[in-house]
Amino acid sequence: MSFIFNRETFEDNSFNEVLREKLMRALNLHDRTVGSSSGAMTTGTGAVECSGAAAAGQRPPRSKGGFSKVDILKSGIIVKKVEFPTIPKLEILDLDVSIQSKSLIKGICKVSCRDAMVQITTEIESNLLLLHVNSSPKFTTPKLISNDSFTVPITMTFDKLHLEAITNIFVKNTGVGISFNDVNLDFRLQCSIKLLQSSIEKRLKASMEEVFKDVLPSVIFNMSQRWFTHGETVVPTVDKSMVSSDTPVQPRMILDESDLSDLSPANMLRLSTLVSSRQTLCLNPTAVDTISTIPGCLERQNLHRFNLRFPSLYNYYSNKEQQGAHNNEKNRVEHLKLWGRSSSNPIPTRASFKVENTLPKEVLDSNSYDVRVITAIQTKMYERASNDVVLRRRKIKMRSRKPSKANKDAVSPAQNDSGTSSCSNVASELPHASLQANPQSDEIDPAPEGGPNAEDAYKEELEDSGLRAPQDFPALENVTPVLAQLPNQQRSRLGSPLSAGRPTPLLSPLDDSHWLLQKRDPQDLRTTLYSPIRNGRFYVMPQPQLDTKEASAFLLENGKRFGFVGLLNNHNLKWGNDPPPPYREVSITQ
Amino acid sequence: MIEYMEYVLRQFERTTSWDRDYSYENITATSDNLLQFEIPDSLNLQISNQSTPNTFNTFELSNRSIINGSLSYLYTDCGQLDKIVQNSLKVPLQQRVDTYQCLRPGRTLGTSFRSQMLLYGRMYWPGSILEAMYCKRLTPQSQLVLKSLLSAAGESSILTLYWQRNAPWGSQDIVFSTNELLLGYRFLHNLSPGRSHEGSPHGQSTLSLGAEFWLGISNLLPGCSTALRYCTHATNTGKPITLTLSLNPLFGHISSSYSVKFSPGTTFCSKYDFNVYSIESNLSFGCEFWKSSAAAHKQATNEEETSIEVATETPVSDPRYCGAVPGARSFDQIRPFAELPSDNQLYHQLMMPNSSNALIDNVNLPFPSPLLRYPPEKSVTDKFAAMIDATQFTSVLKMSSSLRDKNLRLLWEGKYKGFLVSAGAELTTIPLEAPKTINEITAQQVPRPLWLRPAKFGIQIQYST
Repeated sequence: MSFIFNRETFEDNSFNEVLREKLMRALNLHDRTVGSSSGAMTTGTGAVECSGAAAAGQRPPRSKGGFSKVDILKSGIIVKKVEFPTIPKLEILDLDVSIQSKSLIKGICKVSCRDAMVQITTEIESNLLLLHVNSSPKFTTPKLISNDSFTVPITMTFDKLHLEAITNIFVKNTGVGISFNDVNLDFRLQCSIKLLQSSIEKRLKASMEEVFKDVLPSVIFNMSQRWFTHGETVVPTVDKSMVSSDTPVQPRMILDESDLSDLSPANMLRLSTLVSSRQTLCLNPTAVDTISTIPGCLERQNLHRFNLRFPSLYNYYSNKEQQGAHNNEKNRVEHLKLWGRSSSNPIPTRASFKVENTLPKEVLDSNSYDVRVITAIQTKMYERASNDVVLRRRKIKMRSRKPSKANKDAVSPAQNDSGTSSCSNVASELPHASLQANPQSDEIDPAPEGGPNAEDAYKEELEDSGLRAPQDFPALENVTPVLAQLPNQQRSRLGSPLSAGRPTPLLSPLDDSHWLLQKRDPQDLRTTLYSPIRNGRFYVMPQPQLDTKEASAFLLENGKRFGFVGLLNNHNLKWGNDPPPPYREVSITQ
Repeated sequence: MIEYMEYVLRQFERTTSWDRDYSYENITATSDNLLQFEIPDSLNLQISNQSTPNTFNTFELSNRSIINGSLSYLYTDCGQLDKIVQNSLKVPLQQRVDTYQCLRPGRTLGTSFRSQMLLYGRMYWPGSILEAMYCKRLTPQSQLVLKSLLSAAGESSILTLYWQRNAPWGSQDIVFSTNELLLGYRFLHNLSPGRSHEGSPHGQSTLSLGAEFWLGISNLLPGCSTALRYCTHATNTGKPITLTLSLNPLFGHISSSYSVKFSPGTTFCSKYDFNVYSIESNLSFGCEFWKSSAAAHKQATNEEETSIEVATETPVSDPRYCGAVPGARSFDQIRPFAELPSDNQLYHQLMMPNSSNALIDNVNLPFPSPLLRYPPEKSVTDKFAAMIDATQFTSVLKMSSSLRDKNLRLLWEGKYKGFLVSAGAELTTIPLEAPKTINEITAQQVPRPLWLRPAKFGIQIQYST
């Protein structure tokens, strides 16, 4: 995810003109409702603030009449002037990339804007009794003599608009949630009808709270939802409880397609490069035995391979067994270099894609397993998959047997062991016997429950991501059709019984070894992520993001999900461990 | 076209000698009838029936947006109503069309008063909305009207209460509506010379002055207006003229209207509106052309000759329509009576103003002797009035136009084989889907079309037995 705060948008007056037109269009929609104008995320807080003010500015005449059904406005609303002389400030006070399963980014920002001015003019009907008579049924309404309409033009000028607000921003997969706290809004109202000025101002200020509390957040959320799931008109149910108690009408979006062009083109280019690099018409993965063509990125079709690399009882012990016999340092280095690009190695067949979480027969026979290692592996698997899975009997047993501290202890020896033992790479020597031994080992397996657990979670994960992934490319619609087919193929391949018998590539032990090395990356990533965020010099702007949930889930060591697009270096376009795109540093205007 | 139930209600008011023209509500009725007449906007069919002497019902079918309709029932304990209410074949067209309001000064009240009541209910479907009305004469000079609107959905029910007083010197109304808690008071004073000046031509003129005050309590909506009406007759020709002047001091609205009935079949009206605050003005014109066919003359003549006794025994005359004469009588028929010598009793019976009320109660009421000494010049106005009421009209064409709205309103109402047909259209130059008023920007872009286009049109057919 990435965003850009485009200062140039605010620097010339054309921005004001654009804003004026948008505002006028929004205000003049047929059913004029309170939430008619929505904040424009791309144009920054100025639009948000301004439309909020205007939305409220339109309300007092309506509520003054007191009729929910009567429209006091006799003509369209003309926005005469919109002026933002200074650039709205956005200060990030705190930014938190949450490790929780759902929300991806949390942030606290301070929004401030000053000396803005909005001037609107319209015509209102001053003979309210006439409106009442016209809206009432004729039968029961007495006839009034000389009760004609009397329209009065009214001009309202909002001067010296000064806004300061602390906002909480939640960026999720499906939308952006913003809540405004500590809103400090001040303005001077000049109304052409002095008689109404004080009452309008009073009502406006009273309704401001509602606007910032309910209207704007829901408007922004709905709009971002429409962005994130592009093309699919999600009718939010939240609207039912919307603020406008008189008319529960869905707020309008004043942003159109052209607004999307305001997204930073460089980022869009990068994203599209990223996506197109994954683009293929081939049903099978292009590079057959690699995880990804781009280092650090997990591709959808290679997910199962990545998954296979995760420590399981089978992986661990089969590697360990071969460790002594085929520990070849030279080979290991060579293949580590090739990791990510190697396509030459023939890959042994395997019965299915499923993660075999069973101990190899040899290990059982030789009684060479360590319970603590098994515990560590199982715990890790559980943690990885247990977002939604209820705690099972197995877990309780483990706890009762060992204190929780044992888990942590168990992890490190496991790492150390596998780190040294990860060099085995001779595929032909991988014991076929272990495959046949699997059914037997199921019975003897001390931890048979981890397997099904992991499988379930794995499948769920696949389905989730397979369904959701294609929708999450709002700005890159041209490439989505291709992408959209991939998960389906993947799923059908997985689900088909044919695939069980078909020879499918198994990872070379060398590749297998790499998951352990890979562990270091997310850790680094996290440290680099957290450190610059704290200094509060980052702007967060949500942007249509790629759904990389599954990749992140597997990359992160402790198995919790973590969202990112790729490890993209800003400066020299090298893949590395620099902060990923969402956290690009932008200098703050002082 | 006045709907059947409204017609029955008006006949009820006439029977109970309640004069609706002397209410402030109807002070501008003449200009409203000529300028802001109602145009049907759908295909509407109404079949009405007097099922018993005391009950009336109507079935209505309409295709406004969807097929809908209503059923209405009316009950009254007024015994004479069944004699007055006529079916659509026989009813004079003047009684079923809102038209020029002819006022006669010096009203008399009914000699005997009986507290009578009227109940009316109308059920609309498929909306399931019920209209109900209860009208009760309390004293000879006052009546109580309750109108209510109930919706089956229960979202709105409105009750409006009228207490009305109608004395010879004027009228007073107190109105309260639960919708917006609207409270109103209105009164009208008659400054007419009264009976003492009946001999002179000035005795034919009426000057009324009234005002109304409204307050919507729930939202403090104020409203008030004052109005003046002067009805008179041209001295030499006897043509009735009505002038009204109304003023809304709150919103600075002044409107004046001038209506004149040139001949029994033609009426013209002009109205000028002006707002002193916004300097907006509007000029409206309206006219009516009544047509009486030769065939109707003959038919009427034959009917009259055969049933002149019946006609005099059931004197259907409405003071609204300058009614001094029983309704179903042709102009040809009246001429011989008008040329009768003045000492003929029948002459005075026909020409005497407001003879109807007396005649209703007692047809064979002997005339007081002073009537015989009426000056001859009074007959000019009376003759004109008599001509109007005597003519059997078959159709009327109404037209009105307004400079501000730039529209032309057309309405044709007439009788066709016992059906009362009302067809109309409103033509306007303003595009249909235009905003309510002129937005500066759109007004510049959209060129105003030169040709009139129909804004609404419709036809209403009524039949009653």
